[in-house]
Amino acid sequence: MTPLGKDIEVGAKRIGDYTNALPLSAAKEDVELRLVGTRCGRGLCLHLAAMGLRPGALIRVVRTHGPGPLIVAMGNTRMALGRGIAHHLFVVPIEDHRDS
Amino acid sequence: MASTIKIALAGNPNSGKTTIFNAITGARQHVANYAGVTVERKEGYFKKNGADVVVVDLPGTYSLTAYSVEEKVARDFLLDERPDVVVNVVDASNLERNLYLTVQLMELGLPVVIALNMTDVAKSRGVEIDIPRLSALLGIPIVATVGTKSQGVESLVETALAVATGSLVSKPAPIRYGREIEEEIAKILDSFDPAAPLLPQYPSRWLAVKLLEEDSDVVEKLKTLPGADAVLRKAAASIAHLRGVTGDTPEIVLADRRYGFISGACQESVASTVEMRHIMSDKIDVLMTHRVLGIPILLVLMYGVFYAAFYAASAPGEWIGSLLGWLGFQISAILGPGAHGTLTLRSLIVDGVIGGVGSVIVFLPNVMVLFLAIAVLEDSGYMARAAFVMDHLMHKMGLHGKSFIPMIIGFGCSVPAIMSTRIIENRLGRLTTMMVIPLMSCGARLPIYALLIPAFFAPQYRAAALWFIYVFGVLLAIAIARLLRGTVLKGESHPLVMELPPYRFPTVKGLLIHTWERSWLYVKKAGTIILAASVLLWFAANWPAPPADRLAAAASPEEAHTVVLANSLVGRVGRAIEPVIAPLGFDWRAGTALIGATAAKEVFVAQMGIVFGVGESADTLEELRGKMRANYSQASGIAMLLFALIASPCVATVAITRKESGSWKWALLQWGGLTAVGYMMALVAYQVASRL
Repeated sequence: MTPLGKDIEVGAKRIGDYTNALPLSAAKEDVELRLVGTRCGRGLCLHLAAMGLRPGALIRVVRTHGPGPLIVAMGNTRMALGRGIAHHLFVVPIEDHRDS
Repeated sequence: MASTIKIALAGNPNSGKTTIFNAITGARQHVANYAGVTVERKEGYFKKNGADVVVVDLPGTYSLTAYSVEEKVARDFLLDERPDVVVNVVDASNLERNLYLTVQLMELGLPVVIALNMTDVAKSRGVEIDIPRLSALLGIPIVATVGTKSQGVESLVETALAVATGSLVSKPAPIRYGREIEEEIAKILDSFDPAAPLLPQYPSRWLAVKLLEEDSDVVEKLKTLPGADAVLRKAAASIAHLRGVTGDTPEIVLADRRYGFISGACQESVASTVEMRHIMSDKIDVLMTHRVLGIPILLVLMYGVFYAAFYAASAPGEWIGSLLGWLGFQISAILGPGAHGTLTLRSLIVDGVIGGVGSVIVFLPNVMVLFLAIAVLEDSGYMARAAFVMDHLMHKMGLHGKSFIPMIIGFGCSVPAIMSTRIIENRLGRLTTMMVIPLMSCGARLPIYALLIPAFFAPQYRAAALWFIYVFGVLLAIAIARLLRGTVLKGESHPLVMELPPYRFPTVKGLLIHTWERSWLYVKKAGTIILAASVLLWFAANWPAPPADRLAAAASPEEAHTVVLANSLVGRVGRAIEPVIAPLGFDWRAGTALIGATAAKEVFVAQMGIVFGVGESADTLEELRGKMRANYSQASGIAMLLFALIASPCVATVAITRKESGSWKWALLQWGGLTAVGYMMALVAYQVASRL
C-alpha cells in the first residue's frame, strides 16, 4: 500500500480529510468503496468525471489482474482501468467511512 | 414544407446510438469524413411529411470537452452547423452518467430531444423512471425507446421533427452553478463587448463557462483574436479567485455542480430498487477476463474467426470460381480463341479482367465471413474485453490495451483501423499503433494466403499455417511497437480508462449493415483499383509482342505464353529486379506480382493469375496453385507469405497514414520500414527453409 505522498495536489484537500484513504490499486475485490480524490492531469481528471469517476462516486473492484489492469463497477457500469491510473485514485472502504 | 431538416444524433459510447441511427434511417446511409479530420461521419436520409430529413450520427462521447478528437468533432459540429434538433440517446439503465452529456448539450442552447433508450434493460434492473417529471425538470421532450426492437422510434422521429419545425418546444432548463461561480460567470460576461462579439457563433454564457474551465480549444481560438486579452485576463482572475474559494480547479467544481443538478433531477424522477450486483455480463466476464484464461480464450476466438473465414466460406468461393471459368469459356467461344501474344479483346476480357478481377472476387465469401466475424466481436461487446486482457502485455510494449482494438479491426482492413486509432488519446501511442497496423493481416491479404497456403502446405498443416501467419503478424507488430516506443516515439503513455459495455446479442440488422458496408468497399475496390491494375498489368504482360518467329517456334500454348511474358514489359522489369529478389526465392514473375500488390494487396493474386495465364480454366484457383507448385519450392512459398504480410503496405494505407498522422514523414517511415523488415524476414525464412 502506498502511503499518501506530498505530491498530491488535485483533490488533496478532500483526500486529507480521510486518514484511511488508500489507492484504488491496493483495494480488495468486492468491497464497497467511495472515491474520495483523484490525482491526475486536468484533462484526464475531467474525462474521468465525465465517465462518472469523480469524488463521491460509489465503486467496487470487480477484478484485479495482478500487475495488469482492473475492472471497477460503478452502478451498472463496468470500467477497465490501467494499473497506472489506479495508483492515483483514492478510495475509502464504505464501512470505515461511516465510522470516521 | 420542402426544406431540409438536420438532426444530430449524440450520445455516450454504448448507449445504443448506432442501433437507433440504423432504426431511423435503415440502409439509406452514407459515410463521409468531417472536414479536415478523418473521423467517420455517418449520415442517413429519409423523407417525412414532405420534408427531406438528414440525420448525422456524431461520434459517441462522454462529454463535450476538447479531450479527444471525437469530442472536439462532435462539439464543433454542434456549434458550427447548428442542427435543427439534437436527439440525445440516453442509456436509461445508466441514467446519471449519460445525463452528464445531456447537460452539456443543454448548455449549448440547442433544442434537444432525449431518446431514453434501453428502457427494457432499466426496468429489468428495477429502475423506474417518471418520464413526464424528468422531462419537466430538464425542459426537454423525452421519448422512451428500445432501439434493439425498434420500439418508440416512430414516436421519436415525430417528436424530433415537431421540435425542429417549432410545433413542439424544447427549452432546456438553465444550469445554475451556485452563487460564487455565477458571480464569476457574470464578470466574464461583462467583459464581453456586445457590439463586437469575439466568437459570434458561440453562445456567450457557454463561452464564459468554457473560459472558466480553461478549455484548451476555446482559449486557443480566442488567443488569435484582437481584443481578447482583456477577456482572458478577466477569466484568469476569476479562475484564481475560484481556486482560492473552493480549493479545487474550477472545471472540477463545474463538473461537480453539473452532477449535482443531475442527481437533483434524478432524485425527483427515478425510483430505483437494489443495484444488481451480479448481472449476466459479470458472469460471462468471470471467464472472458480471467487472469489466466483471458488470453488463451482470445487466441481461440481469433482462431475461430480465421477458421470460419477460411473454411466455412470456401464452398461459395468455389461456385463463384466455376461460374467465372464458365464465363471465360463462353467468351472465348464467342470471340474465338486468339493466339497468345496478341492484344485481342478476348485476351483482355478473359486473361485480364476475369483472370485479374475474377481471382479477387472469388474470395468475396471469405472476406464477408471475416467482416461478419469482426462485426460480431464489435457488436457483442467482446472487443473491449480483448483490450482489457491485452492491456498488461501492451503496456510492456509502451502501448495500452485500447491499441489492441484498432489492431483487431486491422484484420478487416488497415484503413478503418488506422482511422479508429483516434480512440487512443495519447499522440505517441496513437502514432505507434498506426505504424504497426499494416502487420495485422487484412481481408485483402486473405486471398494471398488462401492461394499460397493450400499450394505449399499439406491439408493437415493449412489451418495451423494460416493461424501462424496471423499470430506472427501480431507478435511482430508488438515487437516493432516496443522498438518505436524506445526510440523515435519515446515518451509517457496514457493510462487505460475504458468502459466495458454489457454483453449484448448483436442485432441481425446491425451485423448485416456492418458486413455489407465493408464488403461493398471490397467489391468496389475490385471493380475500380483492381480492375484498372489488372488491365494495366495484362497490357504490360503482353506488350511488346515477341518476334513472330520466336512465337511460332513455341511447341505448346504454355511455352508460347512464357515467350510472350518474357519479352513483355512485365518480364523486362521483373528480370531487372530479379537479382534483388532472387535471394528471397522469388523469380521475376513473383517479383512483378509483389510490386503490383502495392496498389492493393489482392493484385498479387490477380497478377499471378495473369502471368500464369489461368483465366480460362474451369477451376482457376486449383490450376493456379498447381502452376505455382510446379514453379516454386515450399521455401519460396513461405517467403512469399511473409513478404505479403510485412512488406509494402498498400497505397490506401500509406495515404490514410499520411492523413491521420498529419505528415508524409510517418507514412514513408511506415512504408520503408515495413518493406525493409519484410525483405529481411523473407530472406531469412527462405535461406533457412531451403536448407532444411
